[in-house]
Amino acid sequence: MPPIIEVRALTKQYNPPSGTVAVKGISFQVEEGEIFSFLGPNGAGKTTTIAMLSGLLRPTAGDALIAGHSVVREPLAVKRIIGVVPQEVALYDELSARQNLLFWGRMYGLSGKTLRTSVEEMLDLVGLAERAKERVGTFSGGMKRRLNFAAGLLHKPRILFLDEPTVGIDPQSRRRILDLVKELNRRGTTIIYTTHYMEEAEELSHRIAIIDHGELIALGTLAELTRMVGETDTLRLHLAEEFVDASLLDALRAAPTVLQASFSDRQIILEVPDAATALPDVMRIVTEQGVRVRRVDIEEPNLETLFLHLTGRALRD
Amino acid sequence: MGGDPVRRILAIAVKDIRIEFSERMTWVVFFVLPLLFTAVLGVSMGSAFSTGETRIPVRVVDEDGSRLSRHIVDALASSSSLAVQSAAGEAKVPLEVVIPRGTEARVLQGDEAVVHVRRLEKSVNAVSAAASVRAALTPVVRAASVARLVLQTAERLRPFASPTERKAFFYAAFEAAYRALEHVPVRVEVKSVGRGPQAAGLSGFEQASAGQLVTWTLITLLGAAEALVSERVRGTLRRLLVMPVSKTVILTGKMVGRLSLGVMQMVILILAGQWFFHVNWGRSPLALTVVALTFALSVVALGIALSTLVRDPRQANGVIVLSSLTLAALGGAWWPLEITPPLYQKVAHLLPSTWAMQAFTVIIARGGGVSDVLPEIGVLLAFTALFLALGVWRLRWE
Amino acid sequence: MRKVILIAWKDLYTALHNTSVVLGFILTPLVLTLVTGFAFGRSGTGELHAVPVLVVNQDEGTLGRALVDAFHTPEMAEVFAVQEARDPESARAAVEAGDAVAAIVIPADFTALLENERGGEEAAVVLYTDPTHPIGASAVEEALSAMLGEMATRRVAVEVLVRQLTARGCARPPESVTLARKAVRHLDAVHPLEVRVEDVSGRKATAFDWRGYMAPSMAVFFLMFTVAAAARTILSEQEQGTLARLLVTPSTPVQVLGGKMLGTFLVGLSQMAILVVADGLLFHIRWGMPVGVMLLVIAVTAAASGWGLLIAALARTSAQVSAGSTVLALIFSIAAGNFFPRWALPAWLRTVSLISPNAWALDGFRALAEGASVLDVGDEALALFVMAAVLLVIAVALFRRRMQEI
Repeated sequence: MPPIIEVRALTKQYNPPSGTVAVKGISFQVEEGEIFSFLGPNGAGKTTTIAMLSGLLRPTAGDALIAGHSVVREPLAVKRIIGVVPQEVALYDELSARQNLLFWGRMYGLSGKTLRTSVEEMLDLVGLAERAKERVGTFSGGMKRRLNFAAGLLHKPRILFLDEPTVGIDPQSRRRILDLVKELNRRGTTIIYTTHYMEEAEELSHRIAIIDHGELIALGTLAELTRMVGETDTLRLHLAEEFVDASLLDALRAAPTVLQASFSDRQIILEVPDAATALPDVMRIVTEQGVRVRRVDIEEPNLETLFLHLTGRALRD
Repeated sequence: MGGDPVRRILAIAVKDIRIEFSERMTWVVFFVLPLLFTAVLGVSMGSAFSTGETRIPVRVVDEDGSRLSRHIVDALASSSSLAVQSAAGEAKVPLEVVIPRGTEARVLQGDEAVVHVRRLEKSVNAVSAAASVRAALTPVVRAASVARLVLQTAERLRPFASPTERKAFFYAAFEAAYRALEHVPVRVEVKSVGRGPQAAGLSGFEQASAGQLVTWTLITLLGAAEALVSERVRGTLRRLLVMPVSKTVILTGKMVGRLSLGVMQMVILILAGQWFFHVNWGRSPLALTVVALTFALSVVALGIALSTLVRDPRQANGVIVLSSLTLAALGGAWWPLEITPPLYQKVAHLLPSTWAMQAFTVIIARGGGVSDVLPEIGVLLAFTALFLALGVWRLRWE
Repeated sequence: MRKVILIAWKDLYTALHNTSVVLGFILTPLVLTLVTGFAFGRSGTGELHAVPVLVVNQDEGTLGRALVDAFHTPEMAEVFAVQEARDPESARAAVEAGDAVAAIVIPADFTALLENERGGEEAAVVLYTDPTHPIGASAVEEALSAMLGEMATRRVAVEVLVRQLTARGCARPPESVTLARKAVRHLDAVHPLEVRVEDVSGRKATAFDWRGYMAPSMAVFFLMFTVAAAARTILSEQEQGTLARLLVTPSTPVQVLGGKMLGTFLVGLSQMAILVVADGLLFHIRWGMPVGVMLLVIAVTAAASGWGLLIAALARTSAQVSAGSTVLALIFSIAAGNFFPRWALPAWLRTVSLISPNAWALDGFRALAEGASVLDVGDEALALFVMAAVLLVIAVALFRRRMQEI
């Protein structure tokens, strides 16, 4: 079966000829029925890529075929078969949950009984049926996100684009959304999921694409990707400090037992060939600089390690 | 899942209208306040510009006590719009007429004499009474001029033997002139060319109504300037753009929503004006409808054009307040263009509000029909096309 | 106290950088004052210019011509643009088409009647008017009546002169008639009696100055909105969570509330101050004696702030504050005389509107513009301060109760 999505050298440059190139000629394919994740730090180009695939932005170069329709030449046809759950909550606070869904359903071209049935189904699916008549303005953040989610599904799309759907919400709502994604996929929807949370990508995806600075730097199943990292370990030092000197990182990188070092979120993350041999050197260098370490974790290779390995930077900045 | 665009346009319009009315106070601002304004302005303008049936009390202080001053007092007393009180009266009056001592002497002497008409308070009655006094005393002033001329001429031919003879001669001339001036064989007959019932003159409410209609609907319709800004800020614009909905449909939907709000408001104001204030909106409901619709269209289009200048809802709000009130003031909704300088009138004609006010005035005051306001309708349609073209050209969807 | 000032200062800064406030409530009144000035000229009273008038002279004598010429004098030419038309029907049609504001038709027996050669007959000079230009039309009517009156007076003068001279034996027709006609030419120089209209202060009455009226009127109108925008932040900060943050800093609720109240007052004061100064610099509109103006500005800002804060204390959401204050501001303004001079409103409305700050302020500012001193506006200022005090007390009590709920 041909892939349901075929992306060919998709490029976006703002203000050509000299402006920023947000997406630099990305190419990949997505099979029908899979959950495909984009993983990358903020500003990597994930949202821009989704925007081009959903017809929000015009690509500067390249094209993508979604179920055979070109996003450049047939954007309306594409929009009819895809659903999008945007990163920011896009709802009308003054209207009720039901009124919101009815409106968005109409925008998808649904009407009459089909529309009403679909709206009720969605409200049930996301667990908001009891609050259907209340104004969205009174909802909590998690509830808004669930409704935001439902709004993208009303027309039962074959393909669903989810752009960082779990940013800044409580663990319960996040759990619900992840379960919903799995359920939808089980029912046959192809899912494109962008996130900068490694755990989500690992839990959900059949295949993962790692993006950085507008380029696709790795693509494959979780197993394939972690194998790229090889036999290295990850050392994670939890610090008391909020900031560290760049010279510390340089010193760590210079150490023969260290492959890569990066700092983010009060953690120094190190890629090392062997944790046991690297640990004494690392601790020496760190304490020499007077930095206090509160905890040390030793981890198996994972996506973050891969990212660090490939780019020298942390996934989370 | 095609769905026709009309349904989507209506869905967007209905959604916008729902959002507008989700705040309950909107009803008050939308309907109650315009009527309240029209009521207050109508009552005030009515009393300010029409002469009432009741006589306004004025106090006359005759310090001269001469035959001439008695003539003056008699002339005032015979006025149908004044109720003359003597100086002894204690009641508060808006106007006082003082005939100073020596008036007759000065007139006989050939010097200038002044009758003081003092407005004792700042009120409509005082202004009105002063005008009535002036009108009542005009024959007296003219008769006095004649008498003085006769006296002068006769005196030069043959001087008078005594002051008494002089005075008698003056009064003979004065009274003859006064009587003669009461029977002027030529009068002015005013014929208004209007065909409507208002040919006789507009009531205060009628004067106020069209202006208020234009002012309030301007504020509502220019709300179009917020069109995409608030959607953008909420994030819903992005979502709309990933829907199988073309940009044309989105824009049209928003315009239809705004237009409906404005038209609803106009209909209610016109009907309420008719029922509560007995405003006669002319002889041609068709003309009224067509003008109202084209005006609304042109203003919504202007709103879209303005929306290209604003980046956030706050800016939009400020721009809407500034533009709507300025357009109303410049357009003749607050004061008539008649009394403004020619340059002002030229500038005003660059605005749709002016043309709408002009058309409304023709319909209401002159009882005009569609054929009488074709130029105005044409101009409003041209404005619509121009503003829409500008707006669509410069509209940023990101 | 320092905390209070800091919070107030922050609010003042954000308000003056809020485009909605600047565009809508500071720039708009300035633009409206500008437009008013443009419309009514420096004197503030409107004038008619080149009103198009048509004249059809069917008179068989000379007086008809004289009437037409009277419209071509320099003074008349400033106001009326008079042209002659061929016949009454085309003149009327021109008025109907909107090409002329009025058309005068002088009848054929005009001279004859005025010279009293038809004894007892009457005729009319017909004036066709355009009802869409009532002011211009009535100006033509007035001018025409005045001219006819003068012509009539001249005729009467001749008549009386002849009769009186004959009676006295000084002269006899036809010499007396010639003499009379000659003398009557000097009638214009004779002005024995003047009817002078004066206003309350004894000076010659002038027409209403719309420009001088609009400047303070618009400032006071928009003051309510400005103040409400500031008071609204009490609720919008609560909604955004910054209020809670303020409260967990080492500041007492009293300091925070005090700061916001002072901020509201300062925002209103700044708006008024900017407008007073701008009016003076840009439009040369003087509001009156500086001390009096300052006192009244402070007083009206305090009272308006009181209303704004009361609304904020009663509302549950910031949207309610906006909507509620808009409605109140509009009701106050129309009732108190922001759009139509206060003294021209019905008496009962003037009384009822005293609940608004607008009413007292407009009375006071009008007095100041007419030359009153500080003492003359003491009543108004006092009333405003009392209003402010009462409203603030109530608002504070309501806020206190709300603070305990946070």
